[in-house]
Amino acid sequence: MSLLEVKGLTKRFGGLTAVDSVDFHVDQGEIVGVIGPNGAGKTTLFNIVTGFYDPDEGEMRFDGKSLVGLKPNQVTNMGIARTFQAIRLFPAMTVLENAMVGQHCRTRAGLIGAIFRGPRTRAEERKIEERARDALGFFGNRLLPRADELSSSLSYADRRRLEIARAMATEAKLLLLDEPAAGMNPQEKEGLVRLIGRLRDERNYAIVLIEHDMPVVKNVSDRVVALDYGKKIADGTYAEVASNERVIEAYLGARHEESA
Amino acid sequence: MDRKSISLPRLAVKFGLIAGFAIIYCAAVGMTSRFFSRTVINEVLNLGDFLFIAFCLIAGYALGKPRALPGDAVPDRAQPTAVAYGAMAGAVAGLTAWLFLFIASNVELRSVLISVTTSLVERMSYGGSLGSALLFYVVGGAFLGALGAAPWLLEQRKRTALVVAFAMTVVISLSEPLLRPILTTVLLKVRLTTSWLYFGGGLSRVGAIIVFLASGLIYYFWKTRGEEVQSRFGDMPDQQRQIIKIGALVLLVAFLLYLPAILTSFLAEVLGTVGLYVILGLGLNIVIGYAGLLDLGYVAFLAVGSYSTALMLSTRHPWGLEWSYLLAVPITILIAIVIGIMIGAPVLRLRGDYLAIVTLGFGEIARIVVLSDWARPIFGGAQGILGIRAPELLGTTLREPEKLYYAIVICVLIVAFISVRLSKSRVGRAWNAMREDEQVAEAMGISIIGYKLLAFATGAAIGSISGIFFAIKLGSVFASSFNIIVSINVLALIILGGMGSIPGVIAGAFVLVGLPDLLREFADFRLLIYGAILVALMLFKPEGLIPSRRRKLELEAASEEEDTQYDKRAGEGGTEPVVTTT
Repeated sequence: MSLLEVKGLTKRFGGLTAVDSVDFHVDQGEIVGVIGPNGAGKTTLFNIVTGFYDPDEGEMRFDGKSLVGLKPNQVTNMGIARTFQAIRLFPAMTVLENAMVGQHCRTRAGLIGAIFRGPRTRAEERKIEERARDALGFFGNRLLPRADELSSSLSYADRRRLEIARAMATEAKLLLLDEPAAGMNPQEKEGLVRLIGRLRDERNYAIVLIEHDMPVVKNVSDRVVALDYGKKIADGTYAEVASNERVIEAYLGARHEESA
Repeated sequence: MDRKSISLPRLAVKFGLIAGFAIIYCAAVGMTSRFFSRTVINEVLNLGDFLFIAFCLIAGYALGKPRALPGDAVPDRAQPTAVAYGAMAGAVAGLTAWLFLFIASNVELRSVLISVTTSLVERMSYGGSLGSALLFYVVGGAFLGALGAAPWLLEQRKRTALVVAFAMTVVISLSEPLLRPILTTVLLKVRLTTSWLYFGGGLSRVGAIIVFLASGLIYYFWKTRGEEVQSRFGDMPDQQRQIIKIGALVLLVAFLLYLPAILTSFLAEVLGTVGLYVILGLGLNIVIGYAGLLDLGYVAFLAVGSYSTALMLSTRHPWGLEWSYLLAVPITILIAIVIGIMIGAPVLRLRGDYLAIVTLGFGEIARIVVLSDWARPIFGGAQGILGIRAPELLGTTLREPEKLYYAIVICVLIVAFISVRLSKSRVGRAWNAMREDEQVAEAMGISIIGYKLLAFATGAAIGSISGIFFAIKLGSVFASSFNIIVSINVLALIILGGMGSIPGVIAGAFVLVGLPDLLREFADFRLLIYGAILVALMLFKPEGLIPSRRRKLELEAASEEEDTQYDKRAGEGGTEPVVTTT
């Protein structure tokens, strides 16, 4: 059974059908690249899966349980975590605190616990910090030495890394990465490809990434899904999708698109 | 890019005009004439004259500050010419002030500005003719302006020591109503008097010199030796540091609890009021500072606390409940929590300014409901509820300011403790995350609804505690006490102290609530001075008086970013800025 199973997913904004009966699945330990021209509905798809939008039609199942109608925090509780296209960290919180927020959904302590700080709360607080540091440590010495600095003081690439670390700290099974390579230089992109591979190999994540950068998509994806005008137009290996006529048409056809 | 040079003469005229108009403004609203009767230094200086002196000094000081074009290093010390320009600024300020005198003595201004009396004009001319006053103002202003700019010729440590000494002298002189009774009681125990320090409502001449020298020297030596002490403190093992911190806290608490023994009952009452505002400030700080929910109707919870207490304890209310405080306090807090959630629920979807407007409305609704004829049988309308029995504790009745003060201090400590604990907890992090970016916080698994309601409820509970004391203190409650201005005051003291900082809230409450009560001369101009302090603070110290570590870092980061952006625009070196698309 697939980890994430999406069937006939449709979302309309007024007259525009942003996502049009998309079928889509992600298996355990699989890396799926989602490509498509600007406005093809990729981010909308993410927003529906993560509960920011309710779908108009269709079914989504994660680990066999339906995601339809869940709020974003409930989706995260089930084990799906995401990053954002434009980096959205908590700028006035430290690097470590950003990652610790990721642990929120796996912990319990409430107001009373916070005030009295009993042994259970303290143990939990230690666990939160430990796991947050573990997530930061995945990025070698990029984030951990800066754990107590404000996240807004990080470099651009490190902010992207921290977004991923924060998502990892939610102890998700599936990571949704929205254009993780945007704004990175070629070396950083190479590093990202290795990193995404390691996320799967070492930490067992299934990963879906939206990406415009074709070399990244090619090097990292087990499978590629192409969207255009909200419809799925191709699904297969990178080679299959890249040679698909409809995909070529979508990218090079009537509309002028960015070079891949 | 065209590199403009800095024109000091133009700045001198600008600062001089600003200072001049400030002097005129103070005179025109009646501040100056009122302040003439307040001594700063006995037989040397009164507060009215001091206004002129202070503004000229400030203009000079502002001008003396070394400047550099963007990109160049700012020198530490000023050129000697800066003093001349400082004199120019002071002279312009003096001239502007004199022009006002000139106009006031030739044109009838009293019909518009009732405070501009002939006696004020005479007083400001210092008994001489307008001509001699012109000389006096321009020369005096120039001298003061030069004096203000002169510290910039010194190295930084000495300069700051001078400024601190000056400021401390003024502060200690103005706090005479507060400090003198305390010192008198304390010094009496060692058979000393305070007459060497204070004389006739202000500092004595000797006292002024002593305070000036002492505070300047203490600051200077602290700056020279302080870093060493600080680094030694930093090198200590954690446990030892913890012990010192706890020791300091114990000393502070002991001092706070000892205070009433040396206070007059008037001072105890003022401090009690400050304490109530500290509680309110800490409560609102959780809602605004931690959770980022701009609540402008916070006074509603003060009202809820007061009225619930009144209903349960009044001996003159038709319900005649007269319950015990043991029962009334928890019920009051419970009611506040329920109302906090009731107010929170409909505004869950609102953010920022929208939230502010709606909560502002709720605050007013609370007051109007209480005042209404409809609710008169319960809340007593404009007559309020009278005859609130004071609580009895350990055989005494908590009504006198000194006794109530103890109870308030204990509550402040408890609330401060809760605030600290919350700020470093899972709940506090969730609130912070929500404040920073609601959507992302939700995507990280934080239930926005739950945590917003929790913030409102916590804030409401703390606000209602303040309300309980408010009812006890007055023994009665009236709707007119729960004006919108209370909400604004609480918000102002949070901002003044430093958003999110607990010592900041306490400092803010002292400055905004305590000082106006102590300085009777200021009472009429309270709002004016509020405004001036807030504007000045936002300009020169936007992080607040005692900012939280986080907020300080944040503002530093922001100003650094601005600098680098500026460098980039100048187009020298620097990499291309990364453009992100949303």
